[in-house]
Amino acid sequence: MTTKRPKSELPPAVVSFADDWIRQCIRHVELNMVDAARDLAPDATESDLQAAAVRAFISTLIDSGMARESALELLGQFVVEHKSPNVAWNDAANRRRFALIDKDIQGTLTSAERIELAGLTRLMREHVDSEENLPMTGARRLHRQLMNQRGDSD
Amino acid sequence: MGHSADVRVDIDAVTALVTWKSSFADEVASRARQLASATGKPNRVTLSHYRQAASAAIQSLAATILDGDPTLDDKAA
Repeated sequence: MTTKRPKSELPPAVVSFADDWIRQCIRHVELNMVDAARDLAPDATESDLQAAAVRAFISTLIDSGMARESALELLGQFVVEHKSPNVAWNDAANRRRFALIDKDIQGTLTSAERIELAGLTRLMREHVDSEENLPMTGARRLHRQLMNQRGDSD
Repeated sequence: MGHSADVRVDIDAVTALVTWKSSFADEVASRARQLASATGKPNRVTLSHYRQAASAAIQSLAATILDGDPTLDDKAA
């Protein structure tokens, strides 16, 4: 079955910057993959290639100017969201983050858990920085006081 | 995915293919934007522009591929 798009509606589009960026990104990922392929053993498995692909993609993000920590956090956020779609910061996520921090302190954190922790940290930061969590009431009060003081001194 | 370790592909060849694909894509995008500008709608690049641009870019891709081919140098010598 085909669905007809209303005549007035334009097809989905991307801005030219995104179009350019995607092409450059794919080129760099491919070149990084080729670099990684140099070191692969002749009997490399699909798992080796998957690992090379992940390394190539992360290297590309870092080459594009992204901080290594941010790349790790983004990867972790994807892992967390993949495990439970539409995940929102909540008590369970907070408890899980503290459990992972405890394991980190004890030196028992696995690589996968380190990525998950980075993702949870990113989610927490997004939650804390979101507008609804900003202390706007206090900030508005302070702003009002400063404006009144300025008015008095003029 | 099936694979054969018996066939080896030179890294130079793999890298060249990546570069050709990338050059082709860049040229298509660039020509398509020029075509859109020429038709008076520089803010909207369509599939039709990309098709026209790709047809033209294929010609220069062929030149890019042949340029630097040592076998052609051997023949010319």
